[in-house]
Amino acid sequence: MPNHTFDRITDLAKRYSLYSLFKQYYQGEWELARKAAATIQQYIPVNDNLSFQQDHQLDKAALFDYNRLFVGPGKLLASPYESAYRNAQGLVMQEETLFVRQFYLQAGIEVSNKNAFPDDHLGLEFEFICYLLAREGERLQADDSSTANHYAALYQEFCQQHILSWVYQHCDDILTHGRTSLCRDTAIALVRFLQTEEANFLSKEEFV
Amino acid sequence: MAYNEDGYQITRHICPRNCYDTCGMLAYVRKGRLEKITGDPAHGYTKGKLCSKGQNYIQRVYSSDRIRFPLRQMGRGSGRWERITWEQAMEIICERILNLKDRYHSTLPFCLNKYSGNFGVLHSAVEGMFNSLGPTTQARGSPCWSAGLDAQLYDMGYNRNSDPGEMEKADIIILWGVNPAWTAIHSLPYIYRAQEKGATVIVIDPVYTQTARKADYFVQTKPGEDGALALALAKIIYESGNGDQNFIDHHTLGWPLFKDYLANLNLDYLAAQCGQELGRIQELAAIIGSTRAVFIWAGFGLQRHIHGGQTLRAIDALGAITGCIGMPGGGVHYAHQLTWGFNYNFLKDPGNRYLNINTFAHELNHLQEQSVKMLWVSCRNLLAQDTAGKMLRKELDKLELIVTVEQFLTETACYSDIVLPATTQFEEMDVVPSYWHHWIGLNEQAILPYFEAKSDLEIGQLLAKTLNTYRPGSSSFPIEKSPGSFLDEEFNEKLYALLGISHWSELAAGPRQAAVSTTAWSSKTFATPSGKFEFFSAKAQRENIPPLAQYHKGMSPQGKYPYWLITSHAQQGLNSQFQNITKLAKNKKPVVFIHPQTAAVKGVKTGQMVRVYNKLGVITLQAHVSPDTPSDILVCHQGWLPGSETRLNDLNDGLPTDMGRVSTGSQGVAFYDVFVDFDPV
Repeated sequence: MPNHTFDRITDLAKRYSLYSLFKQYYQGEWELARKAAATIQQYIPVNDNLSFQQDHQLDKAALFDYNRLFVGPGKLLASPYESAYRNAQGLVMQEETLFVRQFYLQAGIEVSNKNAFPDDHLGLEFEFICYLLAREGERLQADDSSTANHYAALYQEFCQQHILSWVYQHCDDILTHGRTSLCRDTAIALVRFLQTEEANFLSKEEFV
Repeated sequence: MAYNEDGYQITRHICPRNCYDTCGMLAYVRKGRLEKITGDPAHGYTKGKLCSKGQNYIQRVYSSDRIRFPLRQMGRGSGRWERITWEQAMEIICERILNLKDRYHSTLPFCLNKYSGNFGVLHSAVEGMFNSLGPTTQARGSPCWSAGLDAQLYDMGYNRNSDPGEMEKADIIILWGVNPAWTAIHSLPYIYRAQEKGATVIVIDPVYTQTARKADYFVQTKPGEDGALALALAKIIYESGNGDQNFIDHHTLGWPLFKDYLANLNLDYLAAQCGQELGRIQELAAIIGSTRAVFIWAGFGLQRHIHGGQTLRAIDALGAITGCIGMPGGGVHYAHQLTWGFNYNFLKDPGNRYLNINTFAHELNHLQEQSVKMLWVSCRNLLAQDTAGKMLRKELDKLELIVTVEQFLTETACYSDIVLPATTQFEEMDVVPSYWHHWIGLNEQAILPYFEAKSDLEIGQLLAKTLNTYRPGSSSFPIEKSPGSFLDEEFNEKLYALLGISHWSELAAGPRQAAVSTTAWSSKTFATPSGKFEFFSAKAQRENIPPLAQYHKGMSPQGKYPYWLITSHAQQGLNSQFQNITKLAKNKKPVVFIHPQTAAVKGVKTGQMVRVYNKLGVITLQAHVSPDTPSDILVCHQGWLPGSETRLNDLNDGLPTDMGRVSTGSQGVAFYDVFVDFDPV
């Protein structure tokens, strides 16, 4: 395997693991926030001082904060649904959700429980990205760079069309309304990570 | 069944809110998503049109603010919510139920408070689930219409309405304490057509409403004094020879006594009481007395006073004297129960203990035996709507567990230990009748439940199943039966005959109009013990209520609190529902409407915040100066705005109305006998 392919696979694995952590975080495993931020700091230098508190009380506070932001039962202070940001009326399960569904279908993926749980939940969008990155890695290992590049392109397209169009605002909302360092620092970590990804897209485009 | 058109799956629905119109709706679903909602043209009353609330149902169904999952609050009112699974929720609830049963050897510690958030027949499953546990404590009665229902029971023996279309046959339509331009818009076309045919429309209301603007005559009465006006009209019409002696002689009971009573009434006094010039009343009496087809629509507002039942009896008596009752295009119309003849299996009473829903906090506080320990709330937002809110909160603090089934985080849900997400009418099956028109329709399931929402019926079944797993035999609620099977058991041959169908599933082809007489009481045979319209009701007398419709002086503002506070229905809301929907929220803050002169005296301008207060408390509202409200009345439209801590009923003493026990089990609430003062903040 050429060195650059090896580097690409290594890089993919790191990014995959980060997305996977964020995916799990958004899918309810909120305790993984700490790990996500720690992993981020290994992957990219984060200037902000991410400082998760360790005591148990704060963990409980973080859970309540997490629910205030993302789960309910009240008005979500940082809705994790794309349509909540992109739909003019801030509703869920809207046309914007269907665009995401369409994108998944394009890659042969369908959400289970669709129409009850919106496809554009950030946890599902990150799961989709994990799928794309995993396929890219697999194809690289199989020396099928053409298909791997196809998945890479899909990933970039999905990020640019969807993730990057709303997640920064979502993270801003977390920073505005979040009360605990766990939720707030995870948002900072996520922003930094996405900024790195975005910068990579730009550098690729410049290279092209 | 659902049918397909232009790529849409179309299903039929009925809006199940506590509303006159109870509209037929069509849901258009594509790719599993509810894309649009229209009126159902097959519904003969709502005829394919929806009000603004109905048109905006998608905002409600797909609101980002809906409750998605079961959640447990760690500290009531703390906002510290923890997401739990349905299984965990049921375990917590069942463990508490069984623990309470073991501790108290009784099921009375379990209390249900449910009302009209959803009038679907299957929503009575909540009562069904409770009744399956044994004798429990349940809130009973109605904050809405009790006094008026009883009044018509005493006079006519049953709550019966003409078809609203009858208004087109009327010579005169009197819209008395009702504002259909806001609260029953589908009746307006009938009123307009009647006007086009030459009918005179008279609106009687303390407030210059949108409906009043469309009237030929507007009579601005004092709140709670409609009885004085009705009796003055009755006296003048009869004594001027314009009464219908034939109707009186053949179809009424107790006329001699009532005639004597009328004879002794002082017109000047009555006119002063209701705030009218006598000449104006005489003019109205001449108009009303000159014809027979007088269609009186008596609204719920006029009976929300301490003598509200007597007021409606006085209006009924006026109708009887004119002979309009039983006449096409005539009659006194309040609400009907003609199409509510279900079997109500869910409501079979195992010996429950009932608490007056209108004095719930007080009753909780005064229980002699076995206090309540656990409260289940469904289809209600009692913390926003009940009077004695502070006392209620104190009583709730004594409870070990509060469970609220809701679509949104209402004030009541905020103060619960567990919230369970509820489906909308697009996510469940049901059948919904109306108390105004005679149509019944089906709610089909159009879409999957939003996230983990469940219907009241499903929740009841899940609870019963879990309870019986813990301890077999704890609940007899049928856990496997489908919604359709429950409906099979709710319908009966009489109801099918009324609807001209042999099975409820035929309602999927369209709502059905019950084959009841389009003219109420057309046979002139009444459902009273005498079979006649009873000016004198022995039944009322037995209930310690004056047997004759009598004038009783209402309450009025005095001394420290010189203004009435009238809390009528909002245009874009329904009780506490809908105003949390952004598109419908007309005002960001609760508003009080103040007459220009009154506002000038206090130096208040539109937009300014004012403190409205009485001995019970103080609320802060945004002033809106308006000539529509009289100078001695402040008007606030009731509703629930998320985040607002303003509770209009904090200023309400919860005085009982005079009637209501017979039809609803409890007296109503004199919601509009509230007196306040105000100052700019």
